[in-house]
Amino acid sequence: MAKFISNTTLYPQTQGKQSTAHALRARRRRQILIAYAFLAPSLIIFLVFRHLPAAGSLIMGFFDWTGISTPDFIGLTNYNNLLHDQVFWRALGNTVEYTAIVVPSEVVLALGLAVLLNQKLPGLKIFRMAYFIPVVTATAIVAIVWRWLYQPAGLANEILQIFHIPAINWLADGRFALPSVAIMAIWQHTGFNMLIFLAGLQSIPAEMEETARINGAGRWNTFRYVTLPLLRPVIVLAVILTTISSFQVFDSAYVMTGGGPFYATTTLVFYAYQQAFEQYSMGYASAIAFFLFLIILAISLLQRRVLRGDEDVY
Amino acid sequence: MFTRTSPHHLAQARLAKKVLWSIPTYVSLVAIAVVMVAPFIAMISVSFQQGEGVSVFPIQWIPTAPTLNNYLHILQASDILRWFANSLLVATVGTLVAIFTATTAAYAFARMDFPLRNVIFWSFLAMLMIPSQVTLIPQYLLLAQLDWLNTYQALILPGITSAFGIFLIRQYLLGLPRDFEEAARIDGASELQIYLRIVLPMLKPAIATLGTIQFLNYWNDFLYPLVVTTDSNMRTLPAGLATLQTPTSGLPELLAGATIAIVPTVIVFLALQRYFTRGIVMSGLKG
Repeated sequence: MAKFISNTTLYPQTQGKQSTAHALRARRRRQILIAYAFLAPSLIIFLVFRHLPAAGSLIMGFFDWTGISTPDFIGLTNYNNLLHDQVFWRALGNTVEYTAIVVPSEVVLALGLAVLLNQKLPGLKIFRMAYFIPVVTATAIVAIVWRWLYQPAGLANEILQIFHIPAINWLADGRFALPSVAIMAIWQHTGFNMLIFLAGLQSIPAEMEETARINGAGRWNTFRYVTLPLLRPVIVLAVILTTISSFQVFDSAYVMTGGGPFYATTTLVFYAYQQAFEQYSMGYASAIAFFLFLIILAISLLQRRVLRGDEDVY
Repeated sequence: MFTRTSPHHLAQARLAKKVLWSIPTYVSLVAIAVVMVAPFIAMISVSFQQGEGVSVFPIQWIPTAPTLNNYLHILQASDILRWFANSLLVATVGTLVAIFTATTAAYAFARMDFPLRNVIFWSFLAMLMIPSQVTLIPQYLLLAQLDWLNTYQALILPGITSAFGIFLIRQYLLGLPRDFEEAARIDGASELQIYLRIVLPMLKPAIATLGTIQFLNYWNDFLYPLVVTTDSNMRTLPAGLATLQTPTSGLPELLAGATIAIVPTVIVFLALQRYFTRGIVMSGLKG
């Protein structure tokens, strides 16, 4: 009864509330519509050119497909074939070897450069700029230049000659081809890691190093026991980023060696490229690419794990 | 005795020590700079060198009889001008559109509340984990299906969405106060007006960073344009130059081509150095 009365007495008011609720809902709908309108350009392109192909690469691995014929579902056959494909194992081995050369060299050199450049001396900016120039250039074009420098009568051998080392057939000798490609990568990307380390070094409070110096620690010990531990998260980051990009190497191998001699520089991406666009085995190539994705996913997850405990360091 | 321990003298000694220490620093810095720059200098020198045949070694670091013949020849013998124009067009349009899509999406993510916001945001970020080489094959097949191979839209479209760019702009926006936007809203401005008149101008530094990275990505990309174009007229500079058969043009010509491709990048880099380095460090630190 009381409820009824209150309801009737409040009727006009409720009416008002309902219409405000209605208006609110309409406003909310409008807001959502506007939000999606702003999002639409990205969302559409993401769905069509990223999400769909990402799902596609997983699915295609289960098919035998030239790209033109009707796709043929073959289950795990592509993956099973991968396990028995010697070229695939060679490509994986090459990629790992390349990464094992590039990552430690780049990180150590970059750290050294960053420490050199993190001093209060005039003119260091110019050097920082010079070291960064190779980073902004196109790998494929730089590889044209290096292919030429690596020629038997080229600059690389001229330099060896100065040190009385016999000439090397850099790109045509199976033993040296992959390290030659790796050397160019080190030359090209050290400047990138150097910048990351410089940013890391500059975020270390100067007092911490000064305190160590005042307490009698030498330059090396200060670096070893104060700077280096503080840089740990940045070093982990540089290692991970360099590892991921090393696993994706393609441009330099394509231009300098074409994967040769005798598969010596056939990397994972190069092999996937060959399978897809020279052999037209789209399914098989997708399986290789998906394998690459799994490796990179594993490395990224590893990074999260390693860095988890470090949040408070920074 | 007295003068020896004077503060002035101590400071002088410290300075002397500092100068002495700085000598090995500079020596190693110069040596490394030589290694870093030498391949470019060699490239430029030989591109001006009168060279018949394949061997241009030993390098004349300063050409005795500089000539433009190599440049004239590569311009005639290849489509390099067209590749240059293609690269410029693709990178410019792609970058502008990428800035548009990234800022509008970031504005929605940072300032608006809508269903599935977090799901969509994370589904974008997840794409950072998937290397572009993995999605390349389905992208290629999709473009082939649309009959878009050898077109500008094929060269531009997939690259214009950047999960990193959206993330970068969103983070930047989250760090900015909403006061101006709220004031404009009270004054009756529409969301589009707010985006155009208030948000975009505030985002200038972040846009500059995103723009430089995006431009560089387009300009230097190789595998993607190599795959989606087969017609020489549609190639970009790296894809065109790197697939140019050496026998058709000698080495000095090829190096002249490489110079044409590299020197503008380096000049732009030196001019916009601040944005480049900041952007590249940021894109590195995205993880």
